[in-house]
Amino acid sequence: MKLDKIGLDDYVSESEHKEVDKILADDRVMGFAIFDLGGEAVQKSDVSETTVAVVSNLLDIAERVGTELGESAPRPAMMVTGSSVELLALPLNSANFMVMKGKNAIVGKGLRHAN
Amino acid sequence: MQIDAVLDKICNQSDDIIAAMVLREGQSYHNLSGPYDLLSAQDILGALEDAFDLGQEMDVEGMDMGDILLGFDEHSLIARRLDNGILAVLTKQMRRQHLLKLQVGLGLATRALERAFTEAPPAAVASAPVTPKAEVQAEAAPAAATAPKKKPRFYRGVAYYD
Repeated sequence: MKLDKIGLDDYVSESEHKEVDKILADDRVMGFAIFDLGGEAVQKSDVSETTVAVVSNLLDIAERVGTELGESAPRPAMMVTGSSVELLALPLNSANFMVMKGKNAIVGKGLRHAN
Repeated sequence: MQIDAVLDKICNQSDDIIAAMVLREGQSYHNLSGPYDLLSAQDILGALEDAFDLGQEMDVEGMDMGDILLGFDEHSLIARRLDNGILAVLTKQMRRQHLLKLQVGLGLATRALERAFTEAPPAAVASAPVTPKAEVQAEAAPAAATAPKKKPRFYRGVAYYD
């Protein structure tokens, strides 16, 4: 799975592109999304609207916690664990990157093929 | 064991752990102290409760939400949904591997908390005073000097004192 660089110039820098592509090269990746800082998804692949909406709200909540903790950069790296799937969100300079991964390669590939 | 005792036990696992917080039936318990007195545990737990509620929407998507791990520049936080509440552990900034190790260790604390919930009725628990971590350590120091040292039980690299 790869990021489509078209239209992302304002959100993802060249070095961030490389890092994101490294993460997406993992066999367990099932889907991903890039959010602008307002919480809108500017690119998504293999993730549902529900997931996008929930993650957008989760990022907002995580930022609230960061503000409550007095963090100078309140946007955190976030990981949500499920029994077979995990969700990772990483703050980029001008965006947030979210990736859903199966906990093992078989689950990741299996669910992706099921989609 | 009382809820505050379980929270203190969680904090005593590592110097990196700053505080533990629990939300149960709208009542919050915590052992935040020092510069963290300014923090509102209630607000943090409230935000985490919102996050877990949102996560339920994703159950339909096959994402049965377990723990939430947040990594900030200065702090890390693990939150876990309990049967009728939320447990959150605030730590200094931790590497992901250490955070995952702590996450495994929380399994035992979770069971102890569930027991504390069932042993004491909510009203009695709610009135139990929660002592800040620093005070607990200061009070425990003289007693610890005279008491024989208990051997820790290790589970996946984390020490537990029964």
